[in-house]
Amino acid sequence: MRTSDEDRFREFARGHAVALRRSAYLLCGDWHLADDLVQTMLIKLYNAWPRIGRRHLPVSYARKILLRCWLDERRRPWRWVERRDVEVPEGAEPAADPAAEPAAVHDAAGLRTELFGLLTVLAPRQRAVLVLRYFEALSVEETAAALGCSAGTVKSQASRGLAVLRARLDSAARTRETT
Amino acid sequence: MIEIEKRLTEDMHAALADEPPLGFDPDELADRAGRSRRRRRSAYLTASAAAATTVLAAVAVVVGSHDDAGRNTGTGTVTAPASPTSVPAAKPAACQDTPPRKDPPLNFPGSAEVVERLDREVPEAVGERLPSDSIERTDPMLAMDCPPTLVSGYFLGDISIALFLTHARPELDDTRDRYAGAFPVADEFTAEDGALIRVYEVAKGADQGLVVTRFGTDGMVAQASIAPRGSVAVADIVTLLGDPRLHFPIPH
Repeated sequence: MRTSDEDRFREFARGHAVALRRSAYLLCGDWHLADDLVQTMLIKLYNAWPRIGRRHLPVSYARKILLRCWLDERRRPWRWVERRDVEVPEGAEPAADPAAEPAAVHDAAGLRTELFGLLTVLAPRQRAVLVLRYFEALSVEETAAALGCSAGTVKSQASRGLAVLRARLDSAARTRETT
Repeated sequence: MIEIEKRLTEDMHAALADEPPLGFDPDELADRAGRSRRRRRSAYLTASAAAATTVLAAVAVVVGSHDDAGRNTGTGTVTAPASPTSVPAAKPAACQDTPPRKDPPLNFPGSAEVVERLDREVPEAVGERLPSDSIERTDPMLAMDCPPTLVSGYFLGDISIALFLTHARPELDDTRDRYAGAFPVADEFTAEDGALIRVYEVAKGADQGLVVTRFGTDGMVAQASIAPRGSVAVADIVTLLGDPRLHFPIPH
């Protein structure tokens, strides 16, 4: 790779690694796995960089690779067990900030557990659609491009995903009222 | 935005509130990716060199199947007509029955000048015939004897090219080509100058490549191994292989 391409790649990696890891975390619910996914994605991107650098938007291409990496990861047999478990995997939680209030730490952990508990019940592509649409704030068309599907598929996946989440939240609220 | 969408957006951002620092260094990762890429390229050239050895063995068999007068004494047939301007190749006695070897590199008279010229001119020819944003030479030119052969490798961006330049006999028995039958022949035709061009498709999947061999009527066998397949037009490769700068006569 030419030095100028190498420099552009390094600049891209430094500038986007954190943001891409956030998306990866919302997809997988594990900061360590999110690190791994982003590293795998960046290595693949490095190999494709001379080809894609001038023809595509690197961020869009990186997002595509990241989604593919995560979907591939989901197919691995050792992930099947965790998929059935709505708890955040052991070791996935970052070390608590010693300066933070204990109550705040507890609230954040509870929120994460509830959020990932809800997202885990969704099909991988539904989850990806929700992360892209409501966290990354991509348009329907941009989401469709990232996932390699039609705009209609994105709309239907988002609608079904939200319906599932709404049903789970309503059910949880009813359970809390009765207890 | 309806309530469930709003809540989802808020929860997602809130879940990132105590984000830990990045678990890797992007610069270190780029270094690692670069090293990995160089290792893969090196492995590709090693594989190409192995393929070259196979070709050399085939050519050595062809050379051994002809007597000193150039008559075919083997089972193959002579298909490439001798050109009136062809330079008869000197045939070192050691080439009769021994396999190709790397040491000593080349032993015909004036071989040092030939290697020096090709080492300088072949990269120029590659750069001119196959234009690219970048041309990277991988290793010093490798010389092998019996028959005299020079091997060099280049990267044009992500395209890998290994060149094998062999001087065999004025009449070449291409039916003894070791690639025949091992890989599918994608194309075969005769160039304007009478050279036989044979194109092989080698390997499958991500490593798929193309081997173009030019059996010249003067005994020069120029071969290019290219990956990925389709990255360079065959016509451009044929033009490169016919470039005079890639050829070397062997004096009497």
